[in-house]
Amino acid sequence: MALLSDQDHQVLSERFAETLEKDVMVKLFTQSQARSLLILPGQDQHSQSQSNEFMKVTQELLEELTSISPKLTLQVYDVFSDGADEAKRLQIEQLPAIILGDDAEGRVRFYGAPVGNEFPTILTDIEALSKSAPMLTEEVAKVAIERIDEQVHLRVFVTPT
Amino acid sequence: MAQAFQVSGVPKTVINDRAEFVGAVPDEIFVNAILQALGKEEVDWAGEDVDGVDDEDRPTSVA
Repeated sequence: MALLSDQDHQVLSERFAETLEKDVMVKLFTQSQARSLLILPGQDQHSQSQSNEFMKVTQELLEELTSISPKLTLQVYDVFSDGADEAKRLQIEQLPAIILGDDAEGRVRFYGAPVGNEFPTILTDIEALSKSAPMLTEEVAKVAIERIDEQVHLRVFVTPT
Repeated sequence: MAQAFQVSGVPKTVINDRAEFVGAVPDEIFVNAILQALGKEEVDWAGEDVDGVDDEDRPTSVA
């Protein structure tokens, strides 16, 4: 059963037609279903199966989401097989990891399943990367560009409600 | 990771793994938090002349 309904598809298709300008690359780092069957020593079965659910749901959701617009491309990396090198290069800290944007290191990273309240978050992330102009007010953007002259790393923690 | 950073409830933003703030904030505050974390002077958004326009010349009432 699809995660996004036909109506969701329609709404998102119209929304993306308005909001997307540049192409956006979406890289998902996950583990294969076969690997998910293993219960690792020291890891309790409940959190393992919950984690597997997150992986599965995340992949399915991103497959459906990226199929809605030709400007979105999904690449799935299995970190325990052929995706291992890329995961190491990008220093993936946990799974599932969604890397958005084409820069060498990936501009925006989303760790965890982008479901519930966080679904709109990832939509906005994708749209923000797709636009040419910043989403800030002009004045704030101007000051930020002038005054912030070094790399800044931001972590934003959200807890599911 | 959330446990390492002691997170709960509202969103928490950590800047350069050093400074942090809790909750959603307006853009201006966000930028100031970043500037502060970088050891730079914050912006006085109310008083600062950021657009180069001399505000004295701007008409304040419509005739």
